[in-house]
Amino acid sequence: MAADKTSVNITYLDSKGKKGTKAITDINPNADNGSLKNFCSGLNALTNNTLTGVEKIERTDITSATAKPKLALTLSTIANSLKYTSSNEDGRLFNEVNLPAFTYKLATSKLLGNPLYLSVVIDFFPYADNIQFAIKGDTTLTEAEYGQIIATIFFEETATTAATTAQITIHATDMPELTIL
Amino acid sequence: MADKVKSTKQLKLVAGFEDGDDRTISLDNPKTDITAEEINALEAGATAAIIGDKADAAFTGWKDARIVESEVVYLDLTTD
Repeated sequence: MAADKTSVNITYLDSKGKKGTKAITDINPNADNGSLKNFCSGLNALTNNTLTGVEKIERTDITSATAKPKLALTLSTIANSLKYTSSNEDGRLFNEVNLPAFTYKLATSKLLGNPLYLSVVIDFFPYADNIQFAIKGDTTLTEAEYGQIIATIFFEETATTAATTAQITIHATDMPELTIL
Repeated sequence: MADKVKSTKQLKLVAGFEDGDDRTISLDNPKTDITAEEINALEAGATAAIIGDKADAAFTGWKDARIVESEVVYLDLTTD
């Protein structure tokens, strides 16, 4: 089965005001949109063309009867400066932050009956190590095309310099999490 | 009528991969004063974005960057 393909189209106006399009094929399908946009803007900056847009195109091979449609989930990255509820226990600093409820929209409604799972990546600024966190609340998505995610992230800070801001990115996967017996 | 000459320029960036292969990105209408620093500054973004047909061979950097000039002469076929 052919691999799924992702490409980007860079649209621009040339020096004479004429529209043009440059296609960059076989882009990393896991690259985030911001990185792709910045990369394409950087490429265009090497030219005398005026950038007018960057468009990502994803193609899914569904030739095989067992092929799953590729999931494209549109979720917002939770913004910085989340407010923590901190507590001290045995000299250890624990923080609890409630994610604001946000809606999601699935790019495909064909989930083939499988639930979806979320994983959370937290980037702290300034960098703080030894961060352990767990997610409380409902983090599984339903088969509905629209829904809401409400969750609480519970984490411990052990770095000597406490982080002041956090950026949380939520990833969706259609693979079930492993259960350690 | 005289022959018509059309000149074009393209910037060709050659991306290298871990398996020794490469692929070329061609950009029309390049600037004339492109610096090595400007091109090398795109490596971080290229690492995240470029995969080619190579899911298992990572982008290693720009192997080559060149501006190719071509000239096309449209011959005048009119007869006096």
